[in-house]
Amino acid sequence: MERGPVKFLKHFFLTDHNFVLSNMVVRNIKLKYRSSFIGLLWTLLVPLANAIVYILVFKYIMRVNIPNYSLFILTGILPWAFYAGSVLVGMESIVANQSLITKVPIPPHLFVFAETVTAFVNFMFSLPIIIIMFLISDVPITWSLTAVPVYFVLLFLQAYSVAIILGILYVYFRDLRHIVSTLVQILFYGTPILYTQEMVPQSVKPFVQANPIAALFNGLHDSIVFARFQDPWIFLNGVVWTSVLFGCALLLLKKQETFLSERL
Amino acid sequence: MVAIEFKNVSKSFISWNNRVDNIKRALVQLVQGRLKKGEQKRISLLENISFTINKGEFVGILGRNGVGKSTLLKMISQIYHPNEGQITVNGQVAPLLALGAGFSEDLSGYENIFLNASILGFSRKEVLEKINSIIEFSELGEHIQAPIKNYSSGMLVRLAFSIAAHLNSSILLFDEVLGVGDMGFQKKCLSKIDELYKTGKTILLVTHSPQQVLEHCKRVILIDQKKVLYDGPPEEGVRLYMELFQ
Repeated sequence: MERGPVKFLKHFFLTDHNFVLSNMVVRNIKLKYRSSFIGLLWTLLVPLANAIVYILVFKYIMRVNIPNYSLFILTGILPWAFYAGSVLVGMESIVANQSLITKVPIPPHLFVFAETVTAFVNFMFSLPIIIIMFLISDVPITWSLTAVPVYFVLLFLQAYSVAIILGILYVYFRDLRHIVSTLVQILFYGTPILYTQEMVPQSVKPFVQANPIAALFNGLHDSIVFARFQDPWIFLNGVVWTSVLFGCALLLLKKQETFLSERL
Repeated sequence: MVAIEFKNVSKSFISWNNRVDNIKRALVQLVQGRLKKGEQKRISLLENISFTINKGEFVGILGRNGVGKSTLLKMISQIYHPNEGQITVNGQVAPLLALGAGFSEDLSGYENIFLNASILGFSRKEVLEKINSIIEFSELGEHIQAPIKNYSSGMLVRLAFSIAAHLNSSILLFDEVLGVGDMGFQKKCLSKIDELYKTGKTILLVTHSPQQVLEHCKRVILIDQKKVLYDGPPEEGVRLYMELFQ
């Protein structure tokens, strides 16, 4: 189907599929909530347990010298849980829904979008934890907090773009999952989540700059934990990376969408 | 008025046997210099198919297993796209290639109506307008609030067909969906399809039952060996269909 750029952009964000999209997100959340006693808490429990371990290890054993380290860790780990979760689940969502995609005319990337939105809603449910930690810390409330939504948008856009790229590749390469789950592990330690970007030695800095999400986590830390606006160059790095991945996702989808259902 | 028009449509698929579906193999082939696009083997399924279906027709599609009947319906509903030729569709299509698409077993029947209907392309307004008659037609009564994992397969089909039959689209495609469910419900489904036909909807029915075709369809398209073998009144179509198996 031929579409103009604006129409394709709308199609990328499924603006014509609001009803089915909201039904799917609601279903995803309901299923999580119903299938177990503590329901939604489960999704929070894993990152929270991780956060507690990191806080114990790095703050009390390794004695990392970052002020408000508990807030610092949570500010990083909860968005990370969103990013990693939506990339991993989103990647598999096209293949997981193949029986639907081959029977109903539904855009395959709708499932990726639904998973990303679900993960984002879960992330929003976890925000009160960060807010509470913020309030009991000694970090002042400053204008830098107004930058936080910008990072959320960039994070969402990037997670969705990466999930689309991987989701389409996964249709062709079914062993991609093993590779990606390893890469995600590496990415976690390669991103300033447990440490600050300033702690990274000069010789390793290029790797941080080549990491598409490093700048976003640095920005979140700056605006929430350190009450300051991010270095504009680092911010630019994050915007450029997100735009590049977004562009790749758009192009790949445009090229692949028509015949993707036959490859399943 | 034309509802569906196929003009010299051909459809082929990449052979599954030759497909590289993991990175490991792709890398090995790349090293050996064998990963060339030209090596992809295409299998042609339908060749140069042309026909026109007018608005309000009731057409049965017959043919052996694997001959491309479902692919035909999938092309009409734009799940698959033709490699050559042109397909014109006027009107909203309800693709009932599988009943209960997207049913979630932990959700109640009621919740699944919304999910399934939205997947099939209903709007929220339409579902709210039709929800009562959907529930009524499904004969599920108070079970509608129970999770569908507790339903029998018959109950599931009843619910699924009921949603499908209330779709507000002008073209309905049924792909052997009536194979399940007991005789009584099958009859009810077919008479509902007849009723939809009488309100002016275009209906395409893929089935293996000559009896259903003779009783309900007004025209038969018989597909064999990648071509339309026959297109015309049902009696002759069914006779030719039966001959294929002799």
